[in-house]
Amino acid sequence: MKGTYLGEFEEVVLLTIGILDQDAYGVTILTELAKQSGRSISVGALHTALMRLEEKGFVHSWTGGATPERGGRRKRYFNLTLAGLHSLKEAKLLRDQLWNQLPPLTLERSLL
Amino acid sequence: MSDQPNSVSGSTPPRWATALLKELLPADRSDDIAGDLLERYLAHRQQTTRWRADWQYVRDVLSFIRPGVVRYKLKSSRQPSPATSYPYPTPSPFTYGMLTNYLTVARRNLLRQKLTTFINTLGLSLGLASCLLILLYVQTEWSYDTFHAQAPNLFRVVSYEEAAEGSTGQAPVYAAVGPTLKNELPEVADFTRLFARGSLVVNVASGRESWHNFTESRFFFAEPSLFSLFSFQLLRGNPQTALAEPFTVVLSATKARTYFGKLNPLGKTIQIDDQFGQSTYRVTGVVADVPPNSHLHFDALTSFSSLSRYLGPLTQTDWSINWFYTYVRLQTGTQAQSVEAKLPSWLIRHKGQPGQQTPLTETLRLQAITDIHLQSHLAGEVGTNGDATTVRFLLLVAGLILAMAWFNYVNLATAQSLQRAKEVGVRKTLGAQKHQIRGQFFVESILVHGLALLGAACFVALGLPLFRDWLDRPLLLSFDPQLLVGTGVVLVLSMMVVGWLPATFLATFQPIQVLKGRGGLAGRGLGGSLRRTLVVLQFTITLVLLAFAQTIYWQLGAMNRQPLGLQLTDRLVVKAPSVHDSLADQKAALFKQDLLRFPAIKAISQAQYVPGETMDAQQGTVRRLGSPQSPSLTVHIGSIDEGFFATYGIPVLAGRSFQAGNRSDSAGVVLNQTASRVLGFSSPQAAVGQRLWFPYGGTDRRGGPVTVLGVTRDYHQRSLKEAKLAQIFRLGGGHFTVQLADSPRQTTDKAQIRAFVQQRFRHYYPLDPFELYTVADHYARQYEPDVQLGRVVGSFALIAIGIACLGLLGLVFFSTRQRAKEVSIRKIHGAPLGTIWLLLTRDFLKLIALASLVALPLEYGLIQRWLGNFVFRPAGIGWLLITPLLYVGLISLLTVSYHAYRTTRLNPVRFLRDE
Repeated sequence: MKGTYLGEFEEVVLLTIGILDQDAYGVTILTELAKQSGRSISVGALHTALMRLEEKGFVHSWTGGATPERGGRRKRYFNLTLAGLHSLKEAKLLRDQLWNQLPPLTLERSLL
Repeated sequence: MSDQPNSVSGSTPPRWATALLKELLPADRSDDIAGDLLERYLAHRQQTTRWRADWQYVRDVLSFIRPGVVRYKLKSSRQPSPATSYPYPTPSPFTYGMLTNYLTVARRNLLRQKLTTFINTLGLSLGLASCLLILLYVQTEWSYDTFHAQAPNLFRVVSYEEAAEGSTGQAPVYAAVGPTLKNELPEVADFTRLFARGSLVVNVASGRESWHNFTESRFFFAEPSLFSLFSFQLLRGNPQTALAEPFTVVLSATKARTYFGKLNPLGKTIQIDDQFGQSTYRVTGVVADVPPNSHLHFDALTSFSSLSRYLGPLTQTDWSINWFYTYVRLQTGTQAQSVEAKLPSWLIRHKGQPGQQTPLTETLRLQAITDIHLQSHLAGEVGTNGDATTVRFLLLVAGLILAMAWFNYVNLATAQSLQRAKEVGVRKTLGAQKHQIRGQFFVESILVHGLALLGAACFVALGLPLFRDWLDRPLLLSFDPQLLVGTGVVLVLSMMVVGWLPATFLATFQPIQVLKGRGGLAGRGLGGSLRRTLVVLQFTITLVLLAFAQTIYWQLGAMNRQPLGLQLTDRLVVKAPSVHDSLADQKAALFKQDLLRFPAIKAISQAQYVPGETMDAQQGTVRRLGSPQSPSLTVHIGSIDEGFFATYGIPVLAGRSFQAGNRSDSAGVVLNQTASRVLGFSSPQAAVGQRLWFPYGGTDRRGGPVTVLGVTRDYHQRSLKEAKLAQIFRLGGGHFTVQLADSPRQTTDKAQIRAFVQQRFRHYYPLDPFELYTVADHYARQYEPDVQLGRVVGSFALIAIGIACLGLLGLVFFSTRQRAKEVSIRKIHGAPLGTIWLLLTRDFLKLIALASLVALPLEYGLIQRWLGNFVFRPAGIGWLLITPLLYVGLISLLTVSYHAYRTTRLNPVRFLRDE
């Protein structure tokens, strides 16, 4: 079903938002992502993903918390919506299901 | 939004990037994302250098250029959140209804403001037309030799001689260079050589016993590899074999038609007479005419193997005579510099160490074939090349003139703002958004551009033939993609500048202020200073162009008036026969005697190089007997007969000239003053009777001692661009110069003389082509490129004056109208006309004075730089700087005064009644 489909990057972003709990905004998400995955992600890519996720209703955003080191600009915080949580679970479910069906031989071969 | 300046760390990211970010982002996200980036930036600043942090910031900003952001932006602008949206629907400026409304309003406005419309359209037309013409020229100049499919790999090998005074280059090189390069350097894939045959006569059998003869000067000996290197298309014949055999010739399509009409020329023969004697060549191919944008032009190619028949193995192995234009094709991917770097040592290996034979250090260089036309100005070029500086200069002129037209538009649009401001105010009150008002002005600009484009097309059509003539280039209006793109860019840029600036400007008016009667941009304020700046710029450009054009004309005029040291008027040149046989001297003597029988002919003489032609320059070949050779000594050698100095009115200062019938004179030479000086003689008298070692001396004329018979006064053999040369004359033949008795004013006289000379020439030289021209014309031809530049710059300077004055006219018109009430009140109180006139003109005169101040140093620099090309430089530059100011000042004063006068003449009641 279209609309609830999660891209790989979107999934990672959603999870990171979940991890950061109440402190998820642009900069923290970016740092956390870089720390966890080790890849460098462009700001543009992250914000595009956030816009898309909000459109799909997977995250909720609100503004607040201006600090001087942002030139007095407010932060936009994100947290997961129920729909976001569901789609994450669904994605994990699908993955587990697929993993469980993997024949042992394939597993072994790939471990060698 | 709280845009406080950041005071914490005192550093801000590049401002332009922030501005760009704002443009990129959707409105509802712009604030917080900008904050994110700033936070990141400041964090980076703590860790790394400013430069790196800036760079990371720019990259962050640029990362927002992605489809996802654009999509979101479009979506969010279509469904604005209720808090920021305008409560009423606003039609997009590009719906049908709005467009027709804009068109109607624009049409009405253009018609109502007839003067403005006229000025804008005419100015833009002239600007666009100038731009188009120059673009056309530039495109032609840049396209030279690009038609060769292998152009990026093609190079010409040229030689440079490094002497103490600097290096001099030669386009042709030694015969052995080409073949040896190919054999020894793996980077050189192939080569081809050309040898210019000079002036020659072609005889084509036209019947059983009758022959047609033609003089040709663009024949070359060429190798078969020419067709594999260059993309000259062979229409008939086989490119592999066409030039393989000796005594075969490939004709250009035009020459084939001239010689053989519609017949198939393959297998036919032509006879060529020149310095190598008379030989018969078989036509083995027809090549398409050389495209006009080629640096190399030929009418026919004769096989290189025929040259080998004349000169022997020299054509493969010689390292001493540089006569051969040599082109190489490098392997794809080879850097020319890397090959060039090998050449000096390579040349020494083959020619021997410098200092042994010749003390000059000689190097070979590679020229990219596409650079030859604009960059190469060597001795012995195949043809006349263009000049990169002229191209760049004209490009600049085009830009300046277009800019001037833009200035007019912007100036008038802002000057009218008082009237238009009310309109904008009313529109805004009725609910027009900024972008809609902008759209309206934009449509107006597009309309004006449409009109201007039509006008420009007319101007281009009128100007193209003139321009083509002036620049002597085959300019054609073609739908070349490069040109179309160039034109498109100019046009779009023009519409952007001209439409966007005033539109944005006018759209910012606050309706309440405007409608209350304040605001607008009447006289002072931003609009006023912008206008004043633009007017100053316009007049500066005009002044500089005018001064430059004037300098060119003045310099050329001064050079024409300058005494050359010889008489050129009433002297005709008859080209010498190309065939030299053992009887040549006797025949010439008979011909001369014969001509003198005609009463209108006063004298006749011969010279190898008539004035205006470059004499044979030789370096280090002449020295005084008993003194060491001085390698850098350059002399110019030419042969003349005993009558030469008398015919041209060149006085002999010491000793004597050659004497008729004095056989021993062939072992003597005549020097000019400069030559006697550079050879180290203290005075002309001291030189007479001295002995020189001379390359044409000795019994076999192959070098030996000669005696100085006399010294003549210097004259200018070449144009006044060059210094006077050291010249040495030897006895011999050459082209005939006929001196007329007294100026034959009637054309019939001239025709009679011509007919007579031709008839006698035919008698003595039945097979040679007859060519006759006046020396003065021939001499003047040396200044042709400068005359061309003068005409072009002059006409553009006139266009510039026109545009600037049009603009001034418009501005004065508006400003006097704005001050009409003031003037009326002053008149009522009895102000004299003079005071009012001063009041109205003072502001503009100040601007022109300021422009003059700015223009003076620019003029001075440009003039000095151009005059640097000339050795002859008349005094009085100051005059050249001042006169353009006077012209422009006078013209603008007239323009301004006309309006001032009209305003003061009107009845003051007209302007005061509605109060």
